[in-house]
Parts: sequence; structure tokens; C-alpha cells
Amino acid sequence: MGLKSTNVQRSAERLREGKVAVLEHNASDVTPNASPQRTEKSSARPGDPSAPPPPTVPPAPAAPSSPGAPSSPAADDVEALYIEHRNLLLYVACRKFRIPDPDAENLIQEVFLSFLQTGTKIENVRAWLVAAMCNASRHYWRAQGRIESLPDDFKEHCDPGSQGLADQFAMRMTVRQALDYLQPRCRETLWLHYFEGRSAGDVARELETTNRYAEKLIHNCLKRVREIYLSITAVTK
Amino acid sequence: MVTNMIERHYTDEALIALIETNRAAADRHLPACEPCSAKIESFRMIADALCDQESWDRPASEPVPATIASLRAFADRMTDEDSRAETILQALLAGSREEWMPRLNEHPEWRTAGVVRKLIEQVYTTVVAMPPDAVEMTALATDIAEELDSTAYPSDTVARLRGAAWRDKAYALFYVGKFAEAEAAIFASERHFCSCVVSEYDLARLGIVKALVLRPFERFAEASDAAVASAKTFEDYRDLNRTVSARLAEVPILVSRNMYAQAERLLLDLERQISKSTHVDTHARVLGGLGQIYKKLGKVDVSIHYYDCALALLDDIGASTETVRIRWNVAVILAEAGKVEDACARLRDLTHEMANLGMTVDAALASLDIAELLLVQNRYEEVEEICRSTMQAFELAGLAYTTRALTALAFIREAASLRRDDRRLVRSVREYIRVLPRQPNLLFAPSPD
Repeated sequence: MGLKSTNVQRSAERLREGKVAVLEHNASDVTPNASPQRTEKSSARPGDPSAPPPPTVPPAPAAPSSPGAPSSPAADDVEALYIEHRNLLLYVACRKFRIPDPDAENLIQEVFLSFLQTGTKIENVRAWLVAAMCNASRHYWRAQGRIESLPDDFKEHCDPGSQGLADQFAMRMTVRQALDYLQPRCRETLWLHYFEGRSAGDVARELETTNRYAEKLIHNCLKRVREIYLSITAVTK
Repeated sequence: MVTNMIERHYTDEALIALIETNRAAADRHLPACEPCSAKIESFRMIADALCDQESWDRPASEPVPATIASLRAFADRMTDEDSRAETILQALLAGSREEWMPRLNEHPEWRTAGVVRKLIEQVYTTVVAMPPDAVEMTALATDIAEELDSTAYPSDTVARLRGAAWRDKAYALFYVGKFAEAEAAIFASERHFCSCVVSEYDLARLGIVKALVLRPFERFAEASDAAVASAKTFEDYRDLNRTVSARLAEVPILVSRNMYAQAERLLLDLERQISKSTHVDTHARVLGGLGQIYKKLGKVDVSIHYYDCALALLDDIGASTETVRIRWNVAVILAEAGKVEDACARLRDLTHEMANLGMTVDAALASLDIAELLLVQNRYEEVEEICRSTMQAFELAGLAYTTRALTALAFIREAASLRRDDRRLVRSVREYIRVLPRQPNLLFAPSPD
């Protein structure tokens, strides 16, 4: 059940180690996943890697049916749901609640097991899963609290205002996806101006161009990322 | 310049410039122009997101095959157990409910999680039709769930099942008026759910039952807190239907405290929320609640209006039994407003419909409403006739408590044949017949004059 060698895990490890992470930068890389060089903005959670493991989910026993037996539609449904929502739930657990990746994956499994057992019609599946993930994450930290001291900013983890949480997280993920489609220069422009908060003049110096052109670039790149964002959301709707 | 701006839409560059220079708030065109304000909002949303580290993080990892395998195995196991449980349930629930538990004890192989789930599935429909059966079904469910081996199922499956079984038992016990036992079942359910990793949603569902159960104890504050907390959780889960249901549970609490104005405000608020949804059943319950509140407030016309709205919705979804109950309320309101003939005519129609729907007791109660109205007008022969036909209906229905109902009705028929206007007797017979299904061994004793 581990998530070895995954980006999220590496990211979470960095957070646990309290190190400043530097992501790779490949200016010629135009494929999705490429990010401009940058430093982590958030502070790392002071965690103890040697802490006892949190309560995790034992793997579900194998189905009573014989190997190779046809799967139920419910199995196909839950797999599809898991694939569709996993990133969002992982995001909620790892980013909002700062839960280590392997534990987050276990909590996701808990959420889906719980979902399977609701025995009632769920009105908004995504919102249900996100709210349940918040519930599982709070439970995780409560359980951790019994065996080790809680992180200093525990309260911030606990109440991310789950009413609009799903939309907010989904929106951030879609923007991230949209950024992956941009040319590196455009991505870097947006990174410098919006994320690092540099003025158009600073951006011009960084990109070795004129102020006027940098301004135009900022505007065009913002327009472009919005266009891509809208086309992605139109498709997913 | 300003005039031009109002007449023409801003370009993207102009909108971005407004954001960049923080001049959007002072702009005069934006508040008046929906397309421009929507567009600038989307630019602002993207720009804000670009300031957030989370938007720049690399995509999350790939789905984990082991998780998929575990979830698929669990789903397959549930499907398999549930399908076996359907066959088991047919055998288990054959005959009278007194036979069910001994039969279960003869078949330990029937004690599966699937059987618990299937029993729970049937409780809510059974509780309306035959409440004591529902109580016995939940007794079976809790008995099986408590003996399941929790290590044979992944994670907190068994704890969750136990919680659900006890919750439904609490509801069924509440339905038959065993409030103390219902409260004990709530405690048991709460204990099991609290041990689960994901529990909020289930606890919120339990909260609605708790609100219902605590009200008869007049523990209004606790009951209200439970309903409010449940509604908050359902809001977080974006479950409008259950949010409204939880808040609806507050209404009887407010009514018990004679807080009709607050109940009215609450119901009107719920009506606004639910009216645009597809939850017709819940919407009808809200409208019916408004009908009831306006009746309490003495606003007969408004009350009937809301009852009519509820009826229209219930007709659409073919909820026949609910429809006749609401029409019954309307007829009673008309009777109370002095419109006796209209009320009698409606009640006569209703008794036929109720009889056709197998609602023998309700038909008898509606008939006794007519009898009471007729006694006021000294129409004794008609009262006698009503008693005769009601007795006949009970005989045909062959219910466990038919004999007792016939005895009670005979008292009214006799009083009518003696031309005695004994409305108090009619009321006591009506109350007796109302509780008979829940207490079939209760004896009728006419109140002493």
C-alpha cells in the first residue's frame, strides 16, 4: 500500500524533514508536470519520523469468490470513484491536514470503505468524500494525539471550512492542471509575478525584456491560463 | 468616458488592469454589468489561485493498485453477502415475528453482515406498515451484529454495522413509544460509531433519531442541539435532503414548546431551500409542516393552502397514504371551522379511500370523526350506520385486535340507538382504536360519566 517514489510522498517527506524543497526546473520541458524553479512557501510540520505508526487499515481480506470470478458492478464503481477522486482526497489529507502520504492513502481507503457501507443514497458524492476525508483526517490527528504531541498548528488542520472545501480544492487542482499546458516561459512569468509577487519591472529584468512587454506577457499568460481552465472545467462538467 | 464604459464591455486587458491596479472596487461599470463582473471574478479567482502554492504543486501520485484491490475485494464481498442474505431473509422472516429469533438461533450460518444490512434496509418501510415487526427485525439485526467477528471484516466494518443496527432499533422503538429503550439504543449506536474512523455522517443520522427520542422526555434543549448539529454535518456533506430533514426534526420540538412563530420561520426557510430541489417527498413534508403550524396559529385558509400544496406534490409521486392523511387534516380543520357538511363529505370520501388502501385503523378513526360531527346534529341513525360499516371493515380485515375494536365500537352504536349524544364516548373510543395497533392487548373501558 506504499506510495514509494511518488511526488506527493517526496513532498510530504520534505515537509516532515522541515527542509526547503527545490523542485527541478527544466526550461525546455513543455510536458505537463514541469514547474519553474521555486522554493516552498509553507512552513514544514514539525514531525517525528520515528513516531509510532498511526492506526492504519489492515488490507481487506480477499473476496470469498474464487480467483478469476467476475467482479460485481459495485467493485467497478468503487474503482472508478477511487480513481476519479483519489487525487482530491490525497490533496485534502496531505495539504490541508498534513498527513503523511502512506497514512493518507490508508485514510482514503477508510473513506471509501465507509462510503460503500453508507446504505443510503449520497446526494453529492464528491462533497461527501471530501467531508469524510476531513473527518478521517481529524480522527487521525486525534489518534496521534494519544501517542505523540500534536503539531503546533493542529487547530488550523481541523477546520478548513468544509462547506466550500471540495470546490476550492478542485479549483486549485484544475489551475494546476491548466498550468501544465502552458509554455515554460508563460508559466515562469506567472510564477514570478503572482506566486513570488514580483512587479512587472522585476519580471522584465528577470526575463531580460522591456517593462511594457513583461506587462503584456503577464496579461496574456493570465488570459491563456484562464482559457485552459475554462476548457478543462467545460469538459469535466 | 464613463458613459462609454457603461455601454461597452471591458476588454480582457482592461479587466486584468483593474485587478492589477486594485481599482476594480471603485469602478462604476462593473456593478452594472453582469458579464464583465463575472469575467473579472474569474480572472481574480485564477490570479488568487496562482498566488497559492497548492496550484503550483506537482500532480499527485498514481492510484495505488493495492488500495484498488482491497476496495474491489470488499465491494465483491458485500455484493456476495447481500445476495445470499436476500434468500436467508425470506426464510428467516417467514411466519409471525415470534418465530423469527428462535429460527435465527437454529441457524448460526445466517449470522452474516449481509443479513444485518438487508434487515436494516427493510426497517424503514416496515416501521410504517407494521411497527412491532420492525422492532423485532432490529432486534435480529443487533443480535447478529453484536456477535459478528470484527476481525473477519476489514477496518471498522463491524462497528459501523452495529452502530447502524442500534440506530434503526432506536428509531423503531421510538415509533412504538418505547422511549427509554430507544434512548438506550441510541447510546449503544453512538458508542459503536464513535469508534469508527469515519463517523460524522452516521452520527448525524443518529442525531435526527436522538432529536425525535428526547422530545417525549421534554429534554427539548438536548433534542434541539442534536437536530442542529446533524443539520450542520449534513450541510458539510452537501446533503440538502438530510439537512432539511434534520431541521424538520426541530419543528415538533418548537411546537411542544408552543414556539409556533419560530417553527413558522424555520419552515419557511426550509421551504425556500428545498423548493428548487428534486426532493419532492421532503418538500411535501415541509409544506405539510407549514399547514400544521398555520392551523395552530389559527390561520385556517393559509393552513389549507399549504396542505393543498403538499397534496399536489404527494400526488405527483404517488404517495397515496400520505395524501389521504393530509386530506384528513384538511377535513378536520374545516370541521373545526364550523364547515360541518363539507368536512363530513370529505371524511366520507376519505374513509373509502383508506379502506381501499388497507388503512383499516385510519379509516375507523376518520369514521369516528364523522360520527362525532353527526352527533352534534343529533343524526343518530347515520351514526349507527357508520358504526356498523366500521365494525364490518374490522371484521373483514381480520386484525389481531379486531375483537377489541368491535367491542369499543359497539358502545357507540348502542349509545346512538338510545339517542344519546355521547361525544366523550366517541373520543375515548377513537383514542383507544388509535393505540390498539401498538398495544393490541389493551382493554377498552368507557370513561365513567
